Amino acid sequence: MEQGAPTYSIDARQLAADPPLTLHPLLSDPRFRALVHKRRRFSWTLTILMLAVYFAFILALAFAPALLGHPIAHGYPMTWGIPAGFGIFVFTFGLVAVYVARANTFHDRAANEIRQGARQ
Amino acid sequence: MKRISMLCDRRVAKPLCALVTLAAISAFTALPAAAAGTTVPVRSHNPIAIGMFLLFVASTLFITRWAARRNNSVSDHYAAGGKITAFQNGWAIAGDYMSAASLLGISALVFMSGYDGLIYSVGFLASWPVILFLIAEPLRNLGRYTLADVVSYRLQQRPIRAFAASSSIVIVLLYLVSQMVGAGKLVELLFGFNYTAAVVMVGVLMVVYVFFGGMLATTWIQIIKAVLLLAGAAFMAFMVLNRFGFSMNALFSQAILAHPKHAAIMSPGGLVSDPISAVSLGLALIFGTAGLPHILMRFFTVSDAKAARKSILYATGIVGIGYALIIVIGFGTIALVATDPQYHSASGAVIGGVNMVAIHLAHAVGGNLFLGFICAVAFSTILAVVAGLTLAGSSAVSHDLYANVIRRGAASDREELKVSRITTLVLGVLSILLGIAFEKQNIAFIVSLTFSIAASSNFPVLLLSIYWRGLTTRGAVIGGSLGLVCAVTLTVLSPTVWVQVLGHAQAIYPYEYPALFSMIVAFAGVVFFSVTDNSPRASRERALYPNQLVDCELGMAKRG
Repeated sequence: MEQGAPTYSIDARQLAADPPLTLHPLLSDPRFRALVHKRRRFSWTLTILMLAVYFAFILALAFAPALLGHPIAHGYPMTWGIPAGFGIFVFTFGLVAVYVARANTFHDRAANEIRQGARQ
Repeated sequence: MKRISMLCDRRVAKPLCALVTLAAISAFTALPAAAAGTTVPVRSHNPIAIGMFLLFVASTLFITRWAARRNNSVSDHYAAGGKITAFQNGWAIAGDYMSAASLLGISALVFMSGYDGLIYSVGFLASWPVILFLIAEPLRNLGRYTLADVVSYRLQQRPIRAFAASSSIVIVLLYLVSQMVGAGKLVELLFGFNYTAAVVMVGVLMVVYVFFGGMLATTWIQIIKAVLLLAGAAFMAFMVLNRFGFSMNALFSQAILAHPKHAAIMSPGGLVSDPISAVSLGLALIFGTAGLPHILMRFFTVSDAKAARKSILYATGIVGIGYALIIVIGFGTIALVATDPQYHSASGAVIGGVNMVAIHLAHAVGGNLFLGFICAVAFSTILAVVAGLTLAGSSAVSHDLYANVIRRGAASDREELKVSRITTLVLGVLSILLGIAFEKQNIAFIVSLTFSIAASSNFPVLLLSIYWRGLTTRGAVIGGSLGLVCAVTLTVLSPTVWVQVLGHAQAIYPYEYPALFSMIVAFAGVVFFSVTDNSPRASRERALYPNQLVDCELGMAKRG
């Protein structure tokens, strides 16, 4: 069979020109892997918390509006819905504050150590 | 009392509520619709308002001149050279989000249905943590100016950038149209100017800001506007509470007395009676924000990840306080505006439409001077938002399409900057023409469409490029495009467009918002077309993920 050059697709020809793939040395660093793991678990936990609170609020509105419309104290117009709504404002801010505090200290320090370790 | 009961009559209230709801999302979109039939200005040719507005324009032009001297490179133009501080950026982000529509739209919503106004403010705020936790840092570590920088990190440059730039331009153009129409209508109402003249003025000013001042001018205009808006809202809320001896219960009691629905205004009403629409809207608000190009761009204007995080903390605080004030203002409008005949026309409707209740309240608590101030603030906020949008749109064209797709990365800084400025001009002309073309159209659906598209095209692709190793170019382009097409199609088939705009009897898609379904389509599409992609290119893209992870977490690439 005289099948000269194999018929590469354009992709394959481009690939042939690409430098061979070398993995970053930090990927095998256990400190790096621990950082990624910790950081992602933290981020996703907070995200899920935020979404859970928000959608619980929305679904409460849809399915049990009377719950939020119940007065806090008899004879006063304030209902539970008002502190619940404002409470979510405060909760949101609190969640952001927790994230920023942890990321700006703990995570940044860990990332810095790994970066410096990699440079030496 | 009879007056608002007319407005809140069931038949009228439902579409009205839906429209105001949309206004609350961000723009002024609902103003024309809610104010339909009443083109009477609130105060015709109010000289104080015009004077204050001119003062604002003059100071923004001064800032633009100052910024223009510091606007010399691509990095200056798109990202203010990364020299904005966290505190400044926090205010600017808050400004991007707390438009005058938040003030007018949410207070109008409270005016009509009380508690329901709070529901929307909660949704707006909830989007910020999600952006911070999932998107902001990878965006900074992997990208330079646009989200396409991040997505194309390990995928094919040209198809990815072409896709991301197109969807960003669609988002920016739709958003611009809604803002332009809203601006025209608002100026007509507040200042008694001609609609077309107002649209042209907004278009020209935004081009001047962006063309000369770039991101630096845009940021400072946003900051000033946010400070003015918050100060105005704080003063108004203070004056309202002052009348009721700083007792929320006293304010609520008076509101219950004045409102035709009485005690019902203290509980959730019918706004969220349909769970699918409610969840859909929630998804569009939360994840759409994370796909808006002009919002994402803000994270490149600060020097490091620490500052980016802090700016979101400031923004969340500022926006949270802002919304709390607006809710107080909303109940204030029920207590003070609803029963006052001077704010109603002979037929009993609120002068200028319900979206004007906060403007009337400004007059009720602060007289003509404060009314002028609030009018000027309301208009200036549109200017700030359109400037940010134009900048985001022009960077998608110049940085993604021109420099990377057409010139394949060989364009010089100078050339890219030139293309960016030409695009700014084109966007200015385009948005003026579209603003004029859509004057008489019912465009209430556009803002929700914008958020839905962002949540179903940019967001899934951006999120999966960061967190999913399996993403390939084919999956990103096809899945993202499917999400975009699905969001547009479902919106056209929904009651808001199919029935209210196109006049058909029955909507084909029964829900108000498409995001729940279009996001599922987008994610499923991205995953399916990635997993089934067996090309050698795809396997290389997957193999590059671990290296991307290092840069994503440590930002090593940018530090050199």
